[in-house]
Amino acid sequence: MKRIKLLLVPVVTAVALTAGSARADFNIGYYTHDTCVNWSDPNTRVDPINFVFFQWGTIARVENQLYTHAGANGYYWYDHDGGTQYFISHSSCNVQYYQFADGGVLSSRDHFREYPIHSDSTLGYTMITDAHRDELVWCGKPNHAIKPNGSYAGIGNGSGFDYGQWQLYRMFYGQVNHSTYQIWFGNTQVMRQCNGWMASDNGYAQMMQAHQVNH
Amino acid sequence: MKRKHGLVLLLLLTAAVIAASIGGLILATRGESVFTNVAPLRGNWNIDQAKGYNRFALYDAGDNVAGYPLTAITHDTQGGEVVTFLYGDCIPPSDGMGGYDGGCPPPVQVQVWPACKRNPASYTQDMLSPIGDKRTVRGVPAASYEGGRRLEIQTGTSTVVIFAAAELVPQVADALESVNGKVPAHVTLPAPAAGAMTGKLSC
Repeated sequence: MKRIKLLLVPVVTAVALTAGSARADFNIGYYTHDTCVNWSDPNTRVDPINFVFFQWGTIARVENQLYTHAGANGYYWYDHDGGTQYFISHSSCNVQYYQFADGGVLSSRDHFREYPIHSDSTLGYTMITDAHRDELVWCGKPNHAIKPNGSYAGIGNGSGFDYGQWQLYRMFYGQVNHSTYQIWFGNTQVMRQCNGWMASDNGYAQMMQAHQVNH
Repeated sequence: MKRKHGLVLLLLLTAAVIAASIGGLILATRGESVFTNVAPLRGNWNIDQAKGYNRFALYDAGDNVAGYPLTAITHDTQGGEVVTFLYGDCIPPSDGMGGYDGGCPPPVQVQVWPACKRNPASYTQDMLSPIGDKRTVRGVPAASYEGGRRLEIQTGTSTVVIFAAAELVPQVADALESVNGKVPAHVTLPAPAAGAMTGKLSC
């Protein structure tokens, strides 16, 4: 049902991508928001933006390439349940397009929401996302929370935001036509979780090339 | 007779439930609801540990700033050492079904990084990094990002990052004071160390 409601989005997005093809800027908000009402208030921030598909980061290609490479690694990001959040692009607040997770809402899982921004002459078709690791915790009922910094020694003492970013990265790492690099966003604001954990991103976004040809 | 007593008991119980609900709603509007199942912030550091720290200068905004009390301190070892002083608290967004969906940022945060790890040069290595609006704050170089909701101040071997609503940021910047040094609020801050602005300061 949620997907049916969003059927209009690809149409709007396609128009926007065409209209914006001459633009060569990358002007996004560095966090997702829980509402578009008064979104400039930082108290509406939820997750840091930390993973960007570029070149052919269209809706269809990101989905196709994620399924292919995650599947090859034994992961299946076929769950699309989770709350709705909002993304900022060029000072405009927009509802997420879709979301992917490797487990259901009643489990711990790796998860990201996505929003396609306009085509950029430098980056091509670009998809911004909020990769993170959801931990199933109890806050009066089952809820998700992001583990605090220092929780994942294997990724430089990172948080659940950094772990989710790394999980998505390693699905594509080393694959042909998926070049990758990091850029500094500096979006390290601490986000408190319902169970009292406090997590922040490492401030770097992982850039991941998506290629034109679907698998 | 027994039936009448039962009815009275039922009415009393109903009234008690309604009263408790109203009380809860009133508290909820103040962010202290007994019905919110939000646990207190879990900092991993305290002010005495911050005072005794000697790797680089730490700054906070005192015990209170902009009406928000100091509620937690975190000390992270990710990407170098980072200390964050958090003021106030927040309730994560509701999922509409009695739970919570995602996190929320405590309203004022003062995050202190070693300048060798975070500095203006961090933003010049890729054209996609945000571009800061350069300014002078407390007599030292600073840059504003995210429409004024993030301010990064270069002082000594530290980079002090303020996250807050844009209208609160100047007040927080003015309140910055040493935690493990002797710089009081409101005065000029120590100039950036050599190399701190260009990313050439070694850790």
